Amino acid sequence: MRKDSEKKNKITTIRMSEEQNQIIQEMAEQRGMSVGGYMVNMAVHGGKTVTPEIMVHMQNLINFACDTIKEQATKDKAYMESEANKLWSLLK
Amino acid sequence: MVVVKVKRDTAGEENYLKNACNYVADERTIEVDGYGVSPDNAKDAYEQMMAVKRYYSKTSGNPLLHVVVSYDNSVKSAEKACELSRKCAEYYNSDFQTLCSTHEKDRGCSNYHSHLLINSVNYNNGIMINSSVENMNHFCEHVADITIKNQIVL
Repeated sequence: MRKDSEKKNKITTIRMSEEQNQIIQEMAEQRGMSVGGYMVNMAVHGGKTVTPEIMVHMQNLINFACDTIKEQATKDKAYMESEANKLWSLLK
Repeated sequence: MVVVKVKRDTAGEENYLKNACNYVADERTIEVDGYGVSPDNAKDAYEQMMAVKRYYSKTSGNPLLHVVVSYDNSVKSAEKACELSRKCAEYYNSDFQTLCSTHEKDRGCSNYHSHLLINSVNYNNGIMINSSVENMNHFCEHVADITIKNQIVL
C-alpha cells in the first residue's frame, strides 16, 4: 500500500513545443522511464550531483577497497565504511 | 538441478527488508556480497537500500525481491557455491542493489543455497522491479546458463 505522501494524485498540464516534446520523449526512453516520471524526476532532482547511480558505484569501490584491506587494516576499513555512510546521507 | 524460489511477503514493508538483511547475514553464512550496498553490515545495507527508495519516493509497497537459489550436490565446495551466487546476482546488478549471501545447509540433495535480496527500486530510474513469471523465467534461464557452464568447467 502506497503511503499518502507518496501517492501521485496531482495532475498538471503543461505546454511545450513539438521539438521539446520530442526531446523529452527521447530522454525518457533512454532512461527507461515514462515521460511523466522523467519530467518529475528531472524537476525534483535535476542539478543534484549525488544520485543513486553514483552512490551505487561509489559503494562498489568502497566494497572493493574494504575487501582488499580487511585483513591488514581493520581500522581503515571501519573508517572507509563510516565515511561512505556519510556520503549516503547526502542522497536526498 | 538448481531450484529457484521467489519469496513473496510484502506485508512487513520496511521491517521485512530489515529482517531479510539481518537474516542473510546469520551464522550459517559463508560469504556475503553486496552490489551498491555494504556486504559487511546488515544495518548499513538496509539504510543504503532505503536511501534509494527515499530518493525516488518509493518507500512503501513491496520492499524487495527475495530469491533463493539452491544448488544440487554437484556443487561440492563453498568457493564454487559463492562464485555461482555472485554470478546469479550479476543478473540484477546493472539496475538494482543486491545483497547476496551463500548459506551452507544439508538438505539431502543440496548442501549450499544462496539468498539474493534485491532492492525493488531501480537505482537508475526509480522504476519498481518486475517479478512477473515471464521475468523470473528469464532469470532462471540465466541461472541455468551459469550452472551449465559450471558443470563444463568441472
